[in-house]
Amino acid sequence: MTHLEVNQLSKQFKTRRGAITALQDVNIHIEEGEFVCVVGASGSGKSTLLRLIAGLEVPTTGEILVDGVRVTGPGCDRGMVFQSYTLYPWMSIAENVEFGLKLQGVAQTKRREQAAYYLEVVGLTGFAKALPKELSGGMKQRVAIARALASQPKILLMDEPFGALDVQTKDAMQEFLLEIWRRTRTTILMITHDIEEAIFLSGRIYVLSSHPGTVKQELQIDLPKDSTEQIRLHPTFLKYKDEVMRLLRTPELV
Amino acid sequence: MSTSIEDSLNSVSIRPQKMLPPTVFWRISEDIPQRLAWTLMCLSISVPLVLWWIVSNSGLIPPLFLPTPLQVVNALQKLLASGDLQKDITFSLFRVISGFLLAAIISIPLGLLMGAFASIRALTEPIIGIVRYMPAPAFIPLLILYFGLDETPKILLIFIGTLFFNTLMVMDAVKFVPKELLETTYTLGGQRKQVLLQVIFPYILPSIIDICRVNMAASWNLVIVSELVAATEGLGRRISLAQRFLKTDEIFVGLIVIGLIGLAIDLLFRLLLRVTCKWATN
Repeated sequence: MTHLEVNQLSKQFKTRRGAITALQDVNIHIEEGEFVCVVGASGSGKSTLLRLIAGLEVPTTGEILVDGVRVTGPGCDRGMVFQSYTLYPWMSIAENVEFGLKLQGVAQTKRREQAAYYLEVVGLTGFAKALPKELSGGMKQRVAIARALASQPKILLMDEPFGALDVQTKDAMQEFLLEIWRRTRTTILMITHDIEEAIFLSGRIYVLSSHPGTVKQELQIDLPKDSTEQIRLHPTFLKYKDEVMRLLRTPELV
Repeated sequence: MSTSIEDSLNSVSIRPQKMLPPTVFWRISEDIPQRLAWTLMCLSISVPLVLWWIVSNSGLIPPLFLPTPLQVVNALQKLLASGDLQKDITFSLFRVISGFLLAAIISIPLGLLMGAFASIRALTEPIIGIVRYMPAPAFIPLLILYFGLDETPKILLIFIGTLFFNTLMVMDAVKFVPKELLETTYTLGGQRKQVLLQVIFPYILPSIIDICRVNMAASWNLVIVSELVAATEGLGRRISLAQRFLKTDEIFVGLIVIGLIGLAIDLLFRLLLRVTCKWATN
């Protein structure tokens, strides 16, 4: 069974000037343990797609299945990491990480243990008692990732998680995310407008076209995933980059 | 055409450089040095005191209208010695605290619900919108008619006068909770009740304390109003009694004590905020 299945998904928003189609007939499938990126220009409805999968929006037509079960609302089987650092400002870092488990009614000792493990995974054990405001942007995002992972979701949804970070931090976070993915084998679906980021991270890329957003191309990325930064200069990497850029250079704008 | 653009570009370079002149006192939204701050704060209290002392001692205004600071201190000592002032303060404080607590117990949950649920808002906002424009003192005749001259109408007056503003301000505070924080909670498996009690409430708690601090001032105003009308004790009663016997110095005592207690309550709320919500303060 496909882990995540998006079938003929469409989403329309009603505005004062009439209905706007954000997504039209989108089909996506992700197998367990995959790391998939969706790239698209602004206006391609890629954030809407992620929000629909998270269950935060209701599709106009079509359906989303997780392990064959239809998505009707948000739940802890689909963890989400937003671009803005959505930490609870009054909780310590450790409390932030264990909050999902607390909501689900996990006993305190158990969730302490689990939170400590994921804090170790993201390398923030030393900051367990700190408040979010004492952390840098990259660290906050690592906490958000640990918090989402602590609930052991079936799939981790990421909405441009590194979009607000500076270039150096962003590169470091990408390698860090790959390492976490290798370690935990969590299925990841990430939205980005950064083509290099998508090629560097994922095994497969969906390229969305804009107005309305629909899948233009599905691209298999065959690069050694244990690679370092150097891979970004590899001819195959550049070939993929060129191809995605060509797909994104939409004729609609000409 | 191109030469005129070049000319204007050239004139930019010959234009005299204008820069914002430096200042300490007039910097917008910036701090001032600590020493200057303390000096200005002392001036804020001492200048009016000194002015009062000079004018009242000059003999320009008869003491019936403006007693000297010394006369007021004497009146204060007399009222303290007889125990009247302590009794007045106790009664006024009791009324304010009862009325305010009652209003807080209802307005905080109600404001939270109105802020979180558009349905509850639609159900309650129109009626609150009308009632809150009715001045609380205008309810005094009705309250006396219903409840007599006991403590009940006084406490209810404070309750009415605080309830609606408190509710609407708490409701507004909920609007500032980032939507993504709520959505994150849903994706962590949070139920709506948990979002309300474990995310929205702690997030707006600093605002709630601040709102209570602001509205406490309104309650404090109302207790004086209620006592001016019908009471046998209380600071408001003390003032109206003093007026009847032309004891201007006692009026001054009443006013100053009211101001000082108000300030003390204000500072207590600030302290509460600093102790309970460390995350929200610098």
